[in-house]
Amino acid sequence: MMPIEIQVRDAGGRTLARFRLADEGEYQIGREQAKVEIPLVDGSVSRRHAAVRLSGGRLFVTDSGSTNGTRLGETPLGKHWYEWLAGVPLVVGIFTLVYEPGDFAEEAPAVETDDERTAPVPRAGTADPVPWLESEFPGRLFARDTVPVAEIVASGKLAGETDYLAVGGGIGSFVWVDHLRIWGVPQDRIRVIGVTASCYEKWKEYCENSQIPGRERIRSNSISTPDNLWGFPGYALRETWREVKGGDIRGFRHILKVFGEPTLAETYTPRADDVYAALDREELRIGWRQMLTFGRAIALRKTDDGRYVLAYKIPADQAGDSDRDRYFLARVVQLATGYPTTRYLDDLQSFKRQNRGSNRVVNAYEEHEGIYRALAERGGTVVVRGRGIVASRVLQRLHETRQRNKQIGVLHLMRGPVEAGAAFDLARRAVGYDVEMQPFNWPKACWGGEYRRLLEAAAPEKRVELLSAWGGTTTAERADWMAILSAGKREGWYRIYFGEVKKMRLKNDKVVTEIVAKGPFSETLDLVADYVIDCTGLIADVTSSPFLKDLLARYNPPRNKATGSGPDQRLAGIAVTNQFEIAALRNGPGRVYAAGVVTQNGPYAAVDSFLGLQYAALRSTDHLAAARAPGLRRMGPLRSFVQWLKWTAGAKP
Amino acid sequence: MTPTLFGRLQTRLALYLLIGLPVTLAIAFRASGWSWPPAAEPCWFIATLFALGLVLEPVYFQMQRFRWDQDWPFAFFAFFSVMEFLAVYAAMRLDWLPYLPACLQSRLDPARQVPVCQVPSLTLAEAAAHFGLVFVPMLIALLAGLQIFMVRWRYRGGQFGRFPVID
Ligand SMILES: Cc1cc2nc3c(=O)[nH]c(=O)nc-3n(C[C@H](O)[C@H](O)[C@H](O)COP(=O)(O)OP(=O)(O)OC[C@H]3O[C@@H](n4cnc5c(N)ncnc54)[C@H](O)[C@@H]3O)c2cc1C
Repeated sequence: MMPIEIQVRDAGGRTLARFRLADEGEYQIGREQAKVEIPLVDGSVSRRHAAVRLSGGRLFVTDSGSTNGTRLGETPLGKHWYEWLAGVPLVVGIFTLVYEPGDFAEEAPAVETDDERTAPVPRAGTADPVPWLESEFPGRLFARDTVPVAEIVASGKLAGETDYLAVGGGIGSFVWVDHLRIWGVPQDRIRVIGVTASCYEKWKEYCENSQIPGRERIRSNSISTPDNLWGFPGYALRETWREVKGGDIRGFRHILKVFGEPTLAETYTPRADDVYAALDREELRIGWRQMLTFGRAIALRKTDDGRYVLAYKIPADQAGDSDRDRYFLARVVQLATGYPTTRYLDDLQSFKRQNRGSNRVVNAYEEHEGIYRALAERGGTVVVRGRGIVASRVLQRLHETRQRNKQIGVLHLMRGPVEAGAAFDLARRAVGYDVEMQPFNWPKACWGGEYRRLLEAAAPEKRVELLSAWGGTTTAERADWMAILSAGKREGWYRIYFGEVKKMRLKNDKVVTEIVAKGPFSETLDLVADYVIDCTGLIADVTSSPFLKDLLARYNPPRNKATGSGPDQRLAGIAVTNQFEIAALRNGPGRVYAAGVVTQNGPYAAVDSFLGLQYAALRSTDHLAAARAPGLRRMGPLRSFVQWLKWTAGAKP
Repeated sequence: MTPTLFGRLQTRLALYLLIGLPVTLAIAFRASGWSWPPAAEPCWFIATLFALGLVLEPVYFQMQRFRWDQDWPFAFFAFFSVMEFLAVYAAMRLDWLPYLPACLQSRLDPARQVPVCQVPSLTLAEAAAHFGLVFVPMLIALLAGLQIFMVRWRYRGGQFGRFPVID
């Protein structure tokens, strides 16, 4: 069957986006990017507005109880399925959706996969909210390596120019901008293009979905402080200070932890809420909101005057009567767009495809509160896949849910037992409960110690070797979590299975996971459960971000090498220098830097951590300062101290 | 953060120069009644402590290679520092440090008619106070002070200076 392509148009008839429906099944239309297949981001659209069903090559639509209603041609839709014929406009809020009989996608799938085990599911929320994408903008103007500035000016869409432009607007962008400000760059020489008001919104969403609510503690140490580039005072000292000031003498335990960790005490980690609050404060201090422009980056090009031009789209509600297409010119650009998308393991993906609309199988990074609610009410069996930090959080949450309903059983599925931890040099990683344990996602010496030096100095092949030795799925050793597993085993509601998943299917309203057990017999086994929660992760594939894919296709910058396989796989990021510059994009005085998971498997191991983002920002800011980039001063001890005092006082940098 | 071997040595040297030296000079001058020359014992004590540290750093570093994170708690650092102090103090009391100026003032042992060193006059309490005045500020500098002035220090494994900038 040929896939059908639906076009989303605005009131002026301009095509904003295209969605390709390739598989039979149901597709939700709505404003909630994380939960629908066809996200339409505008206030006129309800969270869950309508649904489209592709069946036997024909399309059907229904309204899902939307506030503003849905119209098919002139007919307001009710709760039934209506056949949607080609050429008839479907009106959802301010958008008009159409498809033509010939509107079949000619191109290959939008996202390629570079291995067969896993394949991407283009999903909104974790992927890009698509309505701003794949439109004709910026079109032919960008169909070349270097764009003349005169033509950009002539387009009438130039929104502004700046010295420093941060693309993404997440924590990686924030930390970079924070460095620039503290190195002396004034607020009005910096622009941020992003889709969230606060830099931590995306991260918060990931945390909440993966069972780290605000009151819970995250997985980084006291001095990984994206709100404070010195790392002092760390979160532990601040927490101690607050509690002791409030009369609680036990507050000293946080500081004592830092003193004894990781051997004499469990590693100190800050509460998520404290991290958010600290970022709020620093956002205010450096003027983050004043520097922020809402927009989704579409493409980046070099200009003929040694700068760069970013094509982006602003949200509909800010565009007024004009269109949403804009350009911004900048001398220095930093890319920190975070995880491009969630990738599902192959078997999960086929299940999702065959059982569209089924909420029985979820990725732990998606919203899945409903599962815990249903379990609390009715009980049931859950398969938890994976052994990383998120798996341990989910197990903890299931344990909590069990306090309300004892009829909950947990089958923990892992690929195989872990007999011995990874080994490197003279050391070996600890193992417990068939999980490799380490406080953070890389050995600590990767952050600033001998391993950092080793990796940076290594050639690409050697880097892969080192990263493979140090990487892998691990979790932090936490007594509460281990007590839960022990209790679960003893009380019989928690069981571990080892094996490779062959297939998953829905049978009598249960999810059946077929596994082939490890070992000489290779017996197959069916795990029957009500729900499957996949905790095997977010895998970073830069090519599934249309923005980065375009950049890669245009300038072909070198990529790092991929490592690992299966759930441990770490895909290749864009190669950066030790200063985090994408060298292939150098344009005279103009430079492009990157940070975060986009640079995976490069000169620094922990790029996707707060401290890694701080490190990348420090290296690139120093690099710019050495090149006497505009507004930047050199950061010596005196300047550092003065700036630190300002931070302490909450004064502008 | 986890230091490198070179970073450990550099940091130790810097802390002794920045904190150990001034504190020791103050103590030595106080002991000599604020007159020249300052008392020698505190100076020899701190110098020996520093020298022992330089020798032990590579040993500690080798020990940490057996640990996955190549790191150990600050509490261990504190413990080993106290051990270093006790070792140096014991060596002084046992008169194992032949270069101590106390030896210069050796006296003749009346019974055996051989020169023997005088036991240094530094008492344990004095030495402990001296050690504490050096060690506590050093620990604070390690945990807090240095990074306020030196933003790159913690990422460079305790080395000072900038990252090499290559264009
Ligand atoms: C559940 C979870 C827990 C974590 N816990 C920790 C922890 O405890 N400690 C730690 O150090 N690290 C932790 N991390 C890692 C953490 O995510 C990163 O350190 C940090 O959030 C990454 O920042 P970033 O800027 O690279 O990405 P993000 O913070 O995700 O920001 C990227 C932003 O770019 C936007 N964007 C993408 N494409 C475009 C485009 N084309 N145009 C405009 N904007 C775009 C995205 O929407 C997003 O808002 C955790 C990660 C997860 C998922």
